[in-house]
Amino acid sequence: MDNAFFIKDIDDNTIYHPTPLARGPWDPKTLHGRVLSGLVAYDAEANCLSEEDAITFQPSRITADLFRPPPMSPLIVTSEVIRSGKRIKVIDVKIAATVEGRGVIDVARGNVVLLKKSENPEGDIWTPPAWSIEPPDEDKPFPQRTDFGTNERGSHPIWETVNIQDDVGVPYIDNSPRNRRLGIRRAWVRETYNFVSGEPTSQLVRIAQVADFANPFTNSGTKGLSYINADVVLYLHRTPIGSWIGIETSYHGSEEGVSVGTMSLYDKLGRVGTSTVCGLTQVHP
Amino acid sequence: MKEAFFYKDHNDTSVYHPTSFARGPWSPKTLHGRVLSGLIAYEVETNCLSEEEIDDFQATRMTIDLFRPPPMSALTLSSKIIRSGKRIKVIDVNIAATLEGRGVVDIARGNIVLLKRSANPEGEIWAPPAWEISPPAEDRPFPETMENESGDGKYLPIWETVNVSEEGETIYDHKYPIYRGFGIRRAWVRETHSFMSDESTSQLVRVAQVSDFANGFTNSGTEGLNYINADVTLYLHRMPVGSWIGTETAYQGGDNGVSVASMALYDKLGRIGTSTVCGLAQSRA
Repeated sequence: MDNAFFIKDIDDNTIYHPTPLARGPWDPKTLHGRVLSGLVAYDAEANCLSEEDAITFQPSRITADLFRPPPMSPLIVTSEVIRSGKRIKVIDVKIAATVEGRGVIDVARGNVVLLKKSENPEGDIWTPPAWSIEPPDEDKPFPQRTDFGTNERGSHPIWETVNIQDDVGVPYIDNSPRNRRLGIRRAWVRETYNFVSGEPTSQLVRIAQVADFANPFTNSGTKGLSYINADVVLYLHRTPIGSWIGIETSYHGSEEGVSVGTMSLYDKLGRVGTSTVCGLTQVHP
Repeated sequence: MKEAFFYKDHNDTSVYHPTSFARGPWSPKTLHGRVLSGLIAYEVETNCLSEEEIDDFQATRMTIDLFRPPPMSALTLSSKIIRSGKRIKVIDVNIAATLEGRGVVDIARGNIVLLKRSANPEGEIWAPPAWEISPPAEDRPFPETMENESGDGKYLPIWETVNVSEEGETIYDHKYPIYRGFGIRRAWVRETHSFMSDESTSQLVRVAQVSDFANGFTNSGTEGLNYINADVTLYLHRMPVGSWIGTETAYQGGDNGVSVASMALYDKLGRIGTSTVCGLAQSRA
């Protein structure tokens, strides 16, 4: 985990420089959506929350609006606490970049809703059955990195996915995407890179990045992935423990080229929340 | 449907006056969360979109942040188009009110993501099985006014719920509190009041109001409802057809007094989307 998706600017702490690892799958000139949802979480944690806030409040929702294709160039990130109550905090994060011929414009934004932790009320509330699938070991060796050539697209895993067999719960030996058959899909995911160079990655930033995976996981089918997401909404009632985050397809619906896809999120102790994306039909290059 | 939740100010088009029907369940001095969701949808459709845009774009996500208890007094709305692209539009809406001793403060805000309709891509994508439950008839008579729980007056419920039993039968018993078993809950909901005085209610405003029901529907259990929601996120891949909107509990998770709850949304043709809320443990006043 010595390589990272971003390097902080030495002089200006609002500027983040993406590395080639942050490249997305749609176009070699644009960033991956996952690093933008990660950046919303990162900036909110780094600049808007005290250590005490981070302990006493649960980040309950992270929304990332992905307005425009984010360029592979420095991002200017600013965040602001727009509501700070006893039991609720709301933080807005703005992500801007210099786009050729257009100057500095907003490419994405996010907001984070934090709710004060207390105790669950009395009584039982129905919830759907959770899976009971053990994650891979914490000390499982990282996958071999593939050299990235001049094209650099998709040739190295910027995260690790361990697919789970639907019925038995045993991970596939052949871990290729074709094992993502039609039906409920389940997998464990962990980060293979740091988010910001030289810093350990927080649990919130980890899961904020995994949240973006709702798009390919829930919206791909027999012809692959033909939707690009316009947003990510992550809901968490608990912050995950450990480096493996479990994902399970929960919903896909589409009409006239507009899709909504939701996945459930787990850690080794059980359910932690959900992630939903909306998207537009887009042919993969 | 003569009675409405709001009427427009005669002089200032940005000001909406709530009626007593807009009262919420947590305190007699505060509005129901559902009318704020409705107001975001109403404002966007009325002031930010042309008729052509309403036809061409699917309102795909609506997020409502409920910052503060909303008072039973005039609300000032403002909206701003944040992004207007060929295939995506993002609109922000702010709701302010005058609070005693504090002047004009923001009490809620919303944003809406609209995506351009086209055609679904080729191929099959897994989706969970949808229910096959027919809604009640469109011309079903509206319920009559009922005795208040405390017996001090008669009222018409501010929406009508027709519960569906575990066997899939619709239960035509609109006495409050309604039948709600433990397990997956299913119900059909329709509006009994106009949203805006002397205006017919749009399908988006209807479903926006119903989306707030995710809290009452999915977060209540053996001890009733003890969570208050801090937000609502409505996802729609299609606009509902007809006046009945189907609701089905999909998820509930709660840790340390912070909950996340989701319901699936239907119309008579099938699934249309989902609604999710995050909330805080709260005892009813």
